[in-house]
Amino acid sequence: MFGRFRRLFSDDLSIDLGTANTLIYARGQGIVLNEPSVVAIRQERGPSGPKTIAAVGMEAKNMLGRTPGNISAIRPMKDGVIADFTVTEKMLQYFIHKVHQNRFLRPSPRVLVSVPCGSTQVERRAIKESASGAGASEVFLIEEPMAAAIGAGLPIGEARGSMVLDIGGGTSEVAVISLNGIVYSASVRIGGDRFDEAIINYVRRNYGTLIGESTAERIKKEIGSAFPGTEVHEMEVWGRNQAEGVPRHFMLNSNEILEALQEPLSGIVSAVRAALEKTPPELGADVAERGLVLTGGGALLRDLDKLLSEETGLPVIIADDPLTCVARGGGTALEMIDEGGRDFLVLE
Amino acid sequence: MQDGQTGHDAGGGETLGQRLRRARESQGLEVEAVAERLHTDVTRLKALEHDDFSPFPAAVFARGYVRGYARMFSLPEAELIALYEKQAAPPAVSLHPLPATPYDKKATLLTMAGRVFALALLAGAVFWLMPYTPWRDEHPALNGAPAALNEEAHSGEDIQSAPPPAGMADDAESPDADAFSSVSTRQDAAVSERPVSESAQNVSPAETSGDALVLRFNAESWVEVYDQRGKTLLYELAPGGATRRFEQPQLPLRVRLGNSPAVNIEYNGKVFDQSPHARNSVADFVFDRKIAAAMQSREDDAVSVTAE
Repeated sequence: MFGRFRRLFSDDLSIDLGTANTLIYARGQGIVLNEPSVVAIRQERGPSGPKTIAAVGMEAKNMLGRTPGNISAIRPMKDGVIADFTVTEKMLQYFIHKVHQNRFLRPSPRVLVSVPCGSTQVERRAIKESASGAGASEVFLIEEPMAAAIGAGLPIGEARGSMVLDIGGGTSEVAVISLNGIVYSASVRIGGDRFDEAIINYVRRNYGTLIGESTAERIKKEIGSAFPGTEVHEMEVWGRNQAEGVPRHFMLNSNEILEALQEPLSGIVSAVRAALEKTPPELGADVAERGLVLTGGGALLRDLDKLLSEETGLPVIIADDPLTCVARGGGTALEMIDEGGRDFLVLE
Repeated sequence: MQDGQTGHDAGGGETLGQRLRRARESQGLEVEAVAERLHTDVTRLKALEHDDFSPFPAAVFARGYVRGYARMFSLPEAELIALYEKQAAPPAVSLHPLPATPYDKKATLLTMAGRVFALALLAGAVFWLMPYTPWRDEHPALNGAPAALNEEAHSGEDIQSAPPPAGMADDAESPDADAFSSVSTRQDAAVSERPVSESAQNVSPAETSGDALVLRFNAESWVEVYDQRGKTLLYELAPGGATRRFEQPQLPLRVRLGNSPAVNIEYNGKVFDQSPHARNSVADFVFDRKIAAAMQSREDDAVSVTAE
């Protein structure tokens, strides 16, 4: 009863609960939060003592791989779904509070959360429960590619096929959408994390040096590319040399990273090919004419559009502000709920 | 591909299309070559170079091609996008739920049909639960008594010829005696109808008298007899060799026989053939005055069958 009253003082939120980053879009305000999905947990008074949240978000991410024994920085999401239920709930609670910071009442917003289209009923239920546990008065779910397509501004209501590829931290989702509904969707567990992993493995194999996840991510962002380009970028990296056991620095160039990323990239390409194979021919023709739209953080990998375009022969377009597409699309879908449009939502 | 076709001038400089075209021409590339590299068709790019954004179904696509151009020819991306935003009032993609009226209309029709069906079901249930009166319409209850009297008159001599069965000896002096036997003397006999008494069961064929329905069982058979009001007169498994007799029956009677071939039915000594009503040896029929009258008229038949 009181929750309904509190809802009046809370904004409707659309949450892109991603493996790497969590974004929150507040209705009427835009993106209000963009933080890494990382929680640092401190173990108080010995191993059997109580646990407390040390930090959440950006602050916790800076601790990743740099924590003392009593603090562990963990990523509660894995492959787009919840790996640690309690921690996810705490993280969501923290984020929801953060966007309602200057409110007198405890927030109790309506929340729309995006879920990977390949997630199971149990995983969806877990996401719903954790959002409820974090204080949401009502929880809606939407499939990530649908939210991404809405956020990218695709004309999904038309009786024409639109294809969207959302490359997130844990998963990549490809979907063909027509008439507000998903015609075909597939989810592969390849995303930004797999790119980082591939870089770590490549460096270890070829340089005999260990680098951390944060370094790998930095390498990917700075010199990573998906297609051989005319110019070669270089950067200096520090890592621990396995033979000597001491930190050493060395130079990496973009062609090496391109080589390192071959395996995860080919996984994404084959997912897109499989989607095109399974798309009904009429919609396939629409997609070929209009093009494939890239969203998600993975779309920022240099020349990924070129690679997909060369491999599939389709025009490939990167959406505006691809990182926030899902959250923004979720926000739009949330507004549609009040207008009676629940076509977009996932029915449990 | 000459300039001057657009006439749309953005901020004193070139339009977006002009700028893209100039960049392409400065590299000496045909529009076909660009189309091939962007994997799209020439007409779209030509339209883009003429500042015509209509072939693009949504702004995201137009911006995508502008970006493609920008990267191919190393043009400032943000500047071109800003130019595009300024020039094209991009039609906002209207998101709306698909109309649901046709389905809803159908649904209301369906519910209407459902309501009618439910009503019919209710009416059926009420009819079913009401007292079982199958002949109410054909044979109004009041007709029973005079009809019985008429029949009595018909077969008056039969009554005298055969002595009444034991237990029903003097109808006139025992007003509480069995209904069927009291009809001969009392007009209001129709009101009381009770099944034949146990003592009447073992009546011999010789005692067959007028206005009596006799069931003779050659073998074991299930038997049910109801009067016109649905009252049960007989409801049992009759053993082989048994005889069940109804004196002055209030016709019509509803009779159901489980083993019909093993039962002989006689009315006033005349055999009634129930085989046309039997199905899989179960006979279910209404023995009414019409049948009785028909049997009465077959005098010649009766003589032969009643011979014992």
